[in-house]
Amino acid sequence: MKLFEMFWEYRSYFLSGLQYTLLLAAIGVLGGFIVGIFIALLRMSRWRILKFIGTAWVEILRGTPMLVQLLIIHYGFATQFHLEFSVLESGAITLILNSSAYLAEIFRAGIQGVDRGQTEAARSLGMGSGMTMRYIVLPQALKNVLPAIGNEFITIIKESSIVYVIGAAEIIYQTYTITTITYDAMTPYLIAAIMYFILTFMLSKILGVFERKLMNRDKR
Amino acid sequence: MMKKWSLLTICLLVSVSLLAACGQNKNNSGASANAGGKTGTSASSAPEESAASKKLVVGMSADFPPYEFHIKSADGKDQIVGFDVDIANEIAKDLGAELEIKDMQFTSLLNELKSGRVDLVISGLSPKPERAKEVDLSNIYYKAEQAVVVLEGDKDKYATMESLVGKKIGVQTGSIQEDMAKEIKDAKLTKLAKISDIIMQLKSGRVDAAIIEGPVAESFVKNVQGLAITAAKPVTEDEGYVIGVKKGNTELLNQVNTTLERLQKDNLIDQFVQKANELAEQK
Repeated sequence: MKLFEMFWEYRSYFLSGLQYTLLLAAIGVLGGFIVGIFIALLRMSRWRILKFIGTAWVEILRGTPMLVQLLIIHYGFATQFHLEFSVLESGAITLILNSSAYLAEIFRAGIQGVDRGQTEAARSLGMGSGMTMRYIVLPQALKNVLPAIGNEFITIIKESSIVYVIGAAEIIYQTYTITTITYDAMTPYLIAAIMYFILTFMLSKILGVFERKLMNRDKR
Repeated sequence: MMKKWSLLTICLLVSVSLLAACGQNKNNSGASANAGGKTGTSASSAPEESAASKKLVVGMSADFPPYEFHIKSADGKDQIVGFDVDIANEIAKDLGAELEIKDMQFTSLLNELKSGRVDLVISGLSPKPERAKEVDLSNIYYKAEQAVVVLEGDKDKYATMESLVGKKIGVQTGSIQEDMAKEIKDAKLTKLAKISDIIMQLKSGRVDAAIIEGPVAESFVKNVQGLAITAAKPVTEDEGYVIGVKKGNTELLNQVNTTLERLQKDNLIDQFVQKANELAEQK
């Protein structure tokens, strides 16, 4: 029961770390979602340049480690271009960029998975292409890729732990601090693991409820 | 069709430029905040203008008792203490600035300094020649011995440096101990960022021995069961510890050296070490 004792004694550390992690993950999920849709649309654009930008974005950000991206954004930009982001900004930007690449691919799969007939029907009813995308294709696409999106959200929560490297006071950083106070290098990690698990488990339950709701709407 | 896409493109461009503008703003405010902190780099044009709001940002890796480490104070707040912190306090006092401590991974510290996020690095930094190329280093303020830490049962087995030949050795990444361990013949190094991780490796039998800074090793051995310091003495080339300053910031470097001289003259550093050792044992 050392686990509970330690959690209780250092609850202020864990909870402030939890706050930071939640904030970062929320920004990463939200920003990644929005940017991801944009990138997916770029990738499917009929203009060559836009298509190229979208493809390059996805391939580069998906093909390089997030830790490297983080270090480049936090230290590389500061030394080369004097763009001195704060720790939170660097962390959030990295998470948004990285997750947008993955989410863009998920969205693209979803959008392309919607039957062509849907677009044709909408267009023949007189909807413009933007309107068709917004009201006909995207809602169906989002529903189909919801499990995949949930997967990515969980990944973002877990990957946000990387930003401890630049000194962001999230869960892992606080865990290290407690390790240096107590000289115990196992219990704090276990507590951190449990905290992450609770976070991701809750998220997957919420997404499950959401998914079922959308399914029910279909049956009517 | 074309019209819609061009609309989308314009939207995108606008949002991108907005974002860029945001970044620009942040950048500007960051720069102005820094001008206050970086005491004296360009402040000669406006001397003593912001004496009260001056800030000295010091980077350290607070997992290194008794140099710098975390404690939980009586009111439950997290606190970084240690004799490097005391020295930082003295420097800030002499500069008339307010001290702000940033706790970082040791490997990130020099990057922080080069990117201008911290003014000084005081974290048991050794004056390695490669380091001197990247940042300016102050005079040596403290010298310490190195220790070989092993499991209690192995204490006699590794009593000499020769006994470490071909063994698995744990050291902190980028530290002076790493260089020492490299000198040992056929030794397989395990390099980790945190001392506590190295201790974990030792306890779980993944490394045979760890080379750790003397006072730091002692506080770990006192607090973690089943560890011991052997009689082996790693060769030190009479290195000590220095303070890192951003390359070219000579004014701050001179200030730091002046403070260090004063502390050494008054024998304050030894007092700080003693105080820090006591704190490290209490926790």
